[in-house]
Amino acid sequence: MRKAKYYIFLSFIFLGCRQENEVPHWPLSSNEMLFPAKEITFDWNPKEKYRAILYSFSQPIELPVCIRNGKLEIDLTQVTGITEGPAELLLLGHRPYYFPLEIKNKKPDHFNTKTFYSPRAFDPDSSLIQQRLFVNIDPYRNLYPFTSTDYFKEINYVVSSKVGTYCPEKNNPISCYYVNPGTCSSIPVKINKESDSLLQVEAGPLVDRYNNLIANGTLAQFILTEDNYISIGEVLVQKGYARMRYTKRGGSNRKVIIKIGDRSSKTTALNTVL
Amino acid sequence: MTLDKSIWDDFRGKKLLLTAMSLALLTHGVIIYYTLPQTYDAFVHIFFADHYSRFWFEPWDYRWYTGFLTISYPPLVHQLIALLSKIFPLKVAFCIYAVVILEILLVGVYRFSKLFFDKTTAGVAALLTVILSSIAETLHVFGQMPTLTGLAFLLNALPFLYMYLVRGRPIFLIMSLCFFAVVICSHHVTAIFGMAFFVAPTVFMALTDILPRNKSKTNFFHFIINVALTAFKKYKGLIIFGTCMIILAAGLIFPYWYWSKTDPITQVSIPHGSRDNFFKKTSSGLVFYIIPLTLIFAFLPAITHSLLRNKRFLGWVVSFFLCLLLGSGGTTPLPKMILGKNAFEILTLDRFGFWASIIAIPFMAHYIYSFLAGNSRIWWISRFGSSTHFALSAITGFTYFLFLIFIFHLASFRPLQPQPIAIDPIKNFLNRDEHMRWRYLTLGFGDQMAWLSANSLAATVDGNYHSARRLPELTSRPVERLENAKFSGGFGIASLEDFLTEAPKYSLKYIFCNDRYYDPLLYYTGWNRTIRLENGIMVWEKGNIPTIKMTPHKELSPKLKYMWGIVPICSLIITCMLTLWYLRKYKEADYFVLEEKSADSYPKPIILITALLPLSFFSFYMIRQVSELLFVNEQASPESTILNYYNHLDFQQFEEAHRLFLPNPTYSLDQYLLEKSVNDGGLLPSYAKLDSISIEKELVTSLHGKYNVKTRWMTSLGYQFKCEPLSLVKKDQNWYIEPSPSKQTIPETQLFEHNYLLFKKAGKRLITSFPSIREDRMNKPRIQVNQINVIRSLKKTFLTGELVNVDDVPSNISLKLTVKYSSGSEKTYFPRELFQYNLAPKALTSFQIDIENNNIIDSLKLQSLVLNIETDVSEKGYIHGGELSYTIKEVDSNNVALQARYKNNLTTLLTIPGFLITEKDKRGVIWQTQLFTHPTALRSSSETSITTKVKKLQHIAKKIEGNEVSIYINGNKQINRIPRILPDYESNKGIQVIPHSFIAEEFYLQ
Repeated sequence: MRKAKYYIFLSFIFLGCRQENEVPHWPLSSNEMLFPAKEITFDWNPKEKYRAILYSFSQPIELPVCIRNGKLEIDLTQVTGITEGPAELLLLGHRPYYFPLEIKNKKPDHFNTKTFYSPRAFDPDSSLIQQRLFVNIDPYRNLYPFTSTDYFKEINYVVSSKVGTYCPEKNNPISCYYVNPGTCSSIPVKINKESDSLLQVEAGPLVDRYNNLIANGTLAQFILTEDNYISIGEVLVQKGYARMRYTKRGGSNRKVIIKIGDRSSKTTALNTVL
Repeated sequence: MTLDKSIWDDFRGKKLLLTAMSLALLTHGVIIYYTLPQTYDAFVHIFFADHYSRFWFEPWDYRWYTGFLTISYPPLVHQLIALLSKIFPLKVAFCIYAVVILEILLVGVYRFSKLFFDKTTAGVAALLTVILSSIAETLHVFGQMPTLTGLAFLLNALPFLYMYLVRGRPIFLIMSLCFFAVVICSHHVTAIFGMAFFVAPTVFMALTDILPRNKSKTNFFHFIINVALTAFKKYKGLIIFGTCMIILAAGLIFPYWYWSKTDPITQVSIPHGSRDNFFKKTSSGLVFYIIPLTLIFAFLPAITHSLLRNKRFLGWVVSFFLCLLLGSGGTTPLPKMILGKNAFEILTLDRFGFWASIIAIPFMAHYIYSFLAGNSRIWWISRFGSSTHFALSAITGFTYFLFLIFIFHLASFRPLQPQPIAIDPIKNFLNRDEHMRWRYLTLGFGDQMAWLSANSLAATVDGNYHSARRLPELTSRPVERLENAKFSGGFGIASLEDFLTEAPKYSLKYIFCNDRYYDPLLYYTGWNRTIRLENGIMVWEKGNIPTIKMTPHKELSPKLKYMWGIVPICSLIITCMLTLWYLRKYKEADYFVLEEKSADSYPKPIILITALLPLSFFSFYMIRQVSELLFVNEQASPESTILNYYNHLDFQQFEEAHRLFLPNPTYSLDQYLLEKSVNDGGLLPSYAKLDSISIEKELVTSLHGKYNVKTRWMTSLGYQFKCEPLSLVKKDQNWYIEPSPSKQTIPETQLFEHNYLLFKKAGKRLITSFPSIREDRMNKPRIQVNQINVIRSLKKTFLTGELVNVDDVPSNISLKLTVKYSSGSEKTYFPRELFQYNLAPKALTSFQIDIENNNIIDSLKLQSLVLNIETDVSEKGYIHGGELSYTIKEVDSNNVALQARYKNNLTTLLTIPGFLITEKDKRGVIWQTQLFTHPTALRSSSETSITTKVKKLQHIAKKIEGNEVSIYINGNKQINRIPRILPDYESNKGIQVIPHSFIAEEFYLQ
């Protein structure tokens, strides 16, 4: 009887310790999953229909599920690449089961190098140095490192001082940057006789310190003073020149000064030209 | 009696009712679709219906006024139209609803009239209602559907109430309460005032009818006592009814009362024509008194006789005459005394005149029936013959018919709305390119702005339901809508100017302008023309406006929301079901059994006067209208000639204006128009409205006259005054204006050229509806502030400064000054017209931002000032005008005279020549900035002389030190500021002038 009790006791313990396969357990040794992959198999037979949904960082992906050899098999072949990062695998059925994971892509076949340019508009009055930042992006929009530690590469590029539109990437107009004209370094004034009664006061060529013609549309103020009379004419510079016409008047004390922003030309007397 | 009994036993009354209903369907049912766009209120109700159609259980509508609660108006009418709009388009749904309500109203009038007279008279009353001018006006001119709905169900409720008091059966109480419930859910004002003007007389009439015959035929004093005693005996019924009404009124539209209590109206009284003195403002009298009540006044002798003849109508006597009195508005001081100042200034009083016309319907019908087929007819024929009777009836009917035609075409004679605007191009504009992320405003749309709102999910700062608005710029001024600001005088323009300058505060970015009157104000407050839509509407845009931010609003309890969406509709459903059940189970054919058939005999004088008055009134009115059109001599006197001349100019009727000039082969219409196009134009009179005119005689004889005509013109930039000498001569009994020789300067050149430099922003280059990527964005232009000063003058404190566009691209600049006061409060201020918002590369401008009056500054105390400047690349508005020459002469130490010559060297008209005047001291510190505009346009290659005085402030104002102004330009702080010292201070006395003209031609849009 003592032996029987002993065996009965052991059988109870055996029955109690025997693991019932009611909950699925993560089958891999770590929670990192590499894509692409073939399948993942859970040693678990749910006895009812279950769905598998992979919640990646950017989207949920429903995965085909089947029972093979008494085990739950999830087909991963349709996921060729994915946005890396934390994710969750959900087995959804009578009860939901969540498995947190880290998903990663295996090394991609190719990746794009994207360049960021800053600044994209240059004023030659100040710096002509452009920062160019390079990153590699795989087809699934993950950053791919240049080295084991560096995800970005940077260079300082000296752009040309010549006014123009520069496109470092062919067929990509969005990548263009612009060198704009600077402030005019000086304002040369010339007075031309247009007719017997008309004078033309010409400011130009208006160039910046790199000899670029200043921007079209720059406001030039022609300030004519005659005794106590002030006359202001506003002209927009075109192709480096601004012009204003005045009628000739003999014997009058008329002077003209041209202002562009903070710069002023020399004061020029009009009655010296006849 | 049950429904088994054939309705043709009541053949005459019901036949007339059915005839009236058919006639209403054929006339109003057809016309309503065409008159709807010209009405005042139809589109507002359509907008509300659209709201319920989209958001049935959500009372917050963000589309008007930065958001408002629709529980501010009883919802039933709008909800019903919304339900119909699920099947039909909105306008058609409104028309169907209007026709249905009109039919219910006719039934209501029929049943209401049976309280007074027999069924035949009631049938005549229903017919009369179809052609009643007040109904036609309410439906086809005002478009007031809730008023008509409330009235229709009120008139249907009153007979049930009467029967309840007389018979005491609960079914009548239930039916009356059901109908009253629908009234409450449709129109709160009808429900409130209906108690006084309709329910009380009905109760009185019922109590009188309960009295035994001997007690009703006593003297007046005893009669009143007997009625009071009867009321005491019926106290239970009255209390039950009163209590139920209070519960219904409070419960059915409880959210409305909740809103009134928790968010009371703070609106300053808005002027309304119904409160005018109709003798002084005859146009208001025409619309609000003559049109609805002429027929009533024509029948007044007969109405009064009928009312006073029978004591049971005593309540109606008081009600009728009180409504007539209150409907007269401000013509006498009595309405204000009776209603109280607050109620007088909130209510529109035309509703009282309308109710008076409804009360009068049975009595008018009684007389008409008597005259056409009763005792009055017999007397007339015996006295004057049947042919005169026929002729009188026919001519009266015909003249009244003409009067009705006049009402239907009122909009043709006196335009009430602008021309219809196609809204599809505007909808397309709002739908694309995320334009709905900002608010818009319409100008010159009339009530069609509500139609646009109903067809779009975009938001506007304006709206058309004044009780619900809470924006201080609108509530603090007596203005109706922003879109018709010019009709509200100085207040309207001031309100509009607030919104145009404070546009960033309300995320207001787009203006759809249908009235070029507002163009100068838009330009000078920093708005630019962007695109002209296919429907001819110009779109104005302002730069640097932030997108709409969610406005926190009072969240209603979900229970109240569901209540609002369910209870009103249920009240109607229950009423309909109970009505059907009542008709099946309880209807008694002759349940209105008058104790005695009311006699239709009138005293002979009453018959005579009442027969002739309608003919007189309507004939006189039509003759007067025709004579005004055809026979009025505009040139009967010099004064009338001058007044009519300016009237024609105000309405741009140049051909009519030319006819008032002395006929002369050298001064043909062609010559007149040519001189006009050369000499006129500009702020006056192209962008002005004549406000007042006074004529001073200089020298007058029997054949000649010399006058000085002083006119005041209302423009969007303020009042402009003009004094013009006119010389008149009399010829062939008419006075003519002698044309004055045209002064003009002829340019030396015949052909002139000017190079315009135009810019075009590519905008978003990637064709995607996603927001612009970083690489596709343009850099913000760089601006530098040269100086900032806080100046305190004698009356106010303001900020002055100067900034320059140091970039190579034209820039649009917005300034926002945030002032923090010691009390902890914070307020923002913006420059108005004293700033150039668009600058060419390297251009500079001064600016002035008015803060507050000194009293307010002293009480609040300035603590800190922050000036935020945002810039954006601008492709418009940077060309400011021609060549400006000036000289300054010192008048005294505080005043200088500016004598300028302005030459237009562009190839287009300088529509409003103007300039910014800046006063600087010897150190270059700016003390003030002023805008000067010249009233007349400047042609190409022509010049004009301008003289103005400038009062200098530097010796009388004070520069406030100690309050440091922080400046942030595109989010970055600027630190260094150096004032530019003005050279030649002695010659220009510190006055600096730069051109700042408005050019109407849209050359930027090429």
